[in-house]
Amino acid sequence: MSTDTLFNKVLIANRGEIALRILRCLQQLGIPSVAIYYDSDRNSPVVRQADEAVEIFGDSPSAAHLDIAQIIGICKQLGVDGVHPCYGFLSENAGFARELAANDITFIGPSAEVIELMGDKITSRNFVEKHGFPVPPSVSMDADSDGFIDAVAAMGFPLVVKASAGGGGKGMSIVNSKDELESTLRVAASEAEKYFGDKRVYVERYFENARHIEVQVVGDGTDVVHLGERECSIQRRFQKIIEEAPSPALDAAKRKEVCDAAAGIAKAANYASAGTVEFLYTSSGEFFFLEMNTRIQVEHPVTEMVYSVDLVAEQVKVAAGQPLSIAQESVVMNGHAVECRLCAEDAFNDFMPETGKVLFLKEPTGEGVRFDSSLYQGQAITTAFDPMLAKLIVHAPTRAEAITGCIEKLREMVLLGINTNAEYLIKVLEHAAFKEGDVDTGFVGTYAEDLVKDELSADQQRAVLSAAMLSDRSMKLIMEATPDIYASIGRWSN
Amino acid sequence: MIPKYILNENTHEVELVRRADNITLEVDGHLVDARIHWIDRHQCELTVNGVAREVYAAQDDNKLFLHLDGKTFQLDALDEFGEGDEGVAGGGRIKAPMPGVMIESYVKDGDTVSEGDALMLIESMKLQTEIKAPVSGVVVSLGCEAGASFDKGAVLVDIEVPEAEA
Repeated sequence: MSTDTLFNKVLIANRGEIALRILRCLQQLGIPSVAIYYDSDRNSPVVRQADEAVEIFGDSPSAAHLDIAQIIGICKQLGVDGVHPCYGFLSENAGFARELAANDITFIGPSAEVIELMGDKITSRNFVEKHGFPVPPSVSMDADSDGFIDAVAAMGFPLVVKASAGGGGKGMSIVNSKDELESTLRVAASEAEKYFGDKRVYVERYFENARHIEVQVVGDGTDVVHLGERECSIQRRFQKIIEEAPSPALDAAKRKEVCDAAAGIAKAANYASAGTVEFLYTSSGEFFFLEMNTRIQVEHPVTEMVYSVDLVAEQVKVAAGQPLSIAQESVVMNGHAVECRLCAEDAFNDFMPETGKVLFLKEPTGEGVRFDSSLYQGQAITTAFDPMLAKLIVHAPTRAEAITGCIEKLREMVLLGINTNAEYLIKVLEHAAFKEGDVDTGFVGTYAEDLVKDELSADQQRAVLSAAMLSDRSMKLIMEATPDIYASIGRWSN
Repeated sequence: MIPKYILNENTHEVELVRRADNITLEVDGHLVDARIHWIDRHQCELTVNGVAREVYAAQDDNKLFLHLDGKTFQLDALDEFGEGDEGVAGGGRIKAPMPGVMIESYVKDGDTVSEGDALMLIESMKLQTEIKAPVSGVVVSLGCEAGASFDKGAVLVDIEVPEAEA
């Protein structure tokens, strides 16, 4: 395809692994690139590899990356006519999309209107419901009003009763039957009034053992194509750490149902870019719309690997006004892919963030292996940004092989200078329930007792301590300075 | 001087006993037969008691990082000539469990505190945590001021325990 209708120059409004991934795509499409960076990232690969790189300033690195006026100023100065926001920062900021449009610069993402529609939990829920797609059943009204009990009971049990004005788990209770309902509602309303001065309660179906399943869609404003689902139930602190495609929970019929719903929602919104429709998927096979993410997501590589598509290239082409280069009939799912997010954290100690410096890195390689990272030797890892360091994705013919591949590659990868969750990820991947595909969003908590650090064997501990002593710089210096003849005489005296 | 290393919060001694073709080490009182062959600055083949392993090593000051058997290990080399590190467990010294920012300090130098008293509020990765006094005593020094950031391992507060109770 000719690329002279795409962009003159695209600015990547982000950092880290995703900025580098977008750069690779721009290079493949032959589009000149601009990287922006805060001082602490000046040595990062995207800054060195982009055609142009401009330093941005602000009170903090994040503040600089959120500075719309500064970014647009750079675009105008350098003749940039397209901006890729990646994920995070300004990726779902309708104001940014509008400001760019006002300056004749294309936001590589959906329209500001769609970002706004999907960015609000209530308007998006209402939109989806209006178009006949499933949303989680809920009732929000004054508990004293007529018909409340019937309306609530009609949703089915169990239910969760929440104070409308509440938060943080306060004023929340779970109801398993109609018998409990009346008294629970009374108590909840009174508690709500006591704690929050507002007795309105909000009742929602409560789903135990629910999964987080999301569907990748791409649209060009006319057509929408779905690229199957991703299972993202393995989460800690509401952040995904392992994702895979396809989901082990769906059979072909259910997959079609869920994916058609996602494509239908995107189509109703005249969606034009890559997007993700997230669903809650219950153990009984019901699914409900949670939200739509109007950006490229962290976990997009698993979809790219099983469908052999370049989602970012589709985003860029659609933003430039071209139609999708793929059609629903032409995309085929092939094999299984698993992604692990490598994070700077002490996963065995409540996922506490860790800081350090990249002293040595040996990336995992092999067939079907993708390692998305922008790590570099000497890089300081601070808490200024998200703790995610890199993503390891393994694609294989079967789920079991993809899991085994991930475990192997996590072991093979060497990253020295910072504590990561690699060993924890291996514990999850090796867990019997995970291997069975028996996962839900509570997995990390449910199996906390199994997901603990292995004890070192005495033999292994001696190997570690011997290696420590023999590699310790000060010991090496002493040994090099000590002729063998003396060293072999016997012990050093204290 | 016997080199000491902290691994998983325990201190271990590793002494060089003999160095000829093979190296003999004494690790926590056990004799270990070792052979090491460096491939480059970070990679070596280490044979310990006849078992060969590929090892990657890197060092930042007194922190040692090792990768072997598919896992990464972090050790601290203890400086024999430096001061002892008494405050890690017990005593009245609190070190930062993670890097962060001091939001508010509830006490000042010279204050008498009881075990369990809230001393300060710190924040890291948007999580706020109250630091409580591990012992009763007198605050002798606060490690940083409100608004200041600190690194993991920085001393947040020192509490002196009166002699009669110590």
